[in-house]
Amino acid sequence: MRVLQILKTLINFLFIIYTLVYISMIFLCIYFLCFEHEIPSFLNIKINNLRISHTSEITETGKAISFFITYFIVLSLTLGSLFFLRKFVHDIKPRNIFTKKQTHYLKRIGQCIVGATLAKFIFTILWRLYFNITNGDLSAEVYAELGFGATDLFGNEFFIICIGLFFLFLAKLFSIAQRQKEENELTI
Amino acid sequence: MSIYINLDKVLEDRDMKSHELAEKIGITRANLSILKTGKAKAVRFSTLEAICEVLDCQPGDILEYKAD
Repeated sequence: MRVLQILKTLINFLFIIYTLVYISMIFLCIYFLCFEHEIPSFLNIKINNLRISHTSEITETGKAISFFITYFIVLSLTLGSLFFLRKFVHDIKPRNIFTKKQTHYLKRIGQCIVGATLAKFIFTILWRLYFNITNGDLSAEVYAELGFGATDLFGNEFFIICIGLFFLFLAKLFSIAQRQKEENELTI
Repeated sequence: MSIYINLDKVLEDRDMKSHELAEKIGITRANLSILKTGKAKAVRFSTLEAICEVLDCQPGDILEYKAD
């Protein structure tokens, strides 16, 4: 179970980092809406290939608010998947496996991963459309990038969705295993 | 479940207590209770054989099918 210990430590670390990012984003949003009304110069975020900084197109309040909403939806789902993964890993013990709770956690992890990836992908397309239209450039090429590079498999949206679906499949397997375990325990 | 366990009745006929049966067939009282209350999902042939041997009965005396 040494692997489980390493996994627990890594997930804890990631969860803390993401929670800090999430909280700081809330404060940043409040600061922005109350005082600045402009993207601060130190903020330089990239969602997919859409760079958000004070030099980018997002300088108006409306655009920035919609950016923050997008960011919060994606980040909330990402944090949600980490939260349930953390709960799942902490719940697993040699004598406590294939429980209803664990099946529920796996299902939620899968839903959050698929949701976050789809949201990221859809919002990127919508943002591109929005910028082209509001910039008055209707003839501009609207495109969505999907990387199929040999070295960047984990950055590929389809692959991440596959991981999410795998978790959903794993939840089904856990559900079957849980039934069989119950049956085995109730065999006299 | 449509399968009913008549172990209580057989035990009463043989004038035997549950814990005595559990000891003789080598299962725990908790497991015998699961069997008696109908919560069991399956019964091993070895357990059924031991029960029949101790109570001197047939499997049909213990198990009964009733349509729901």
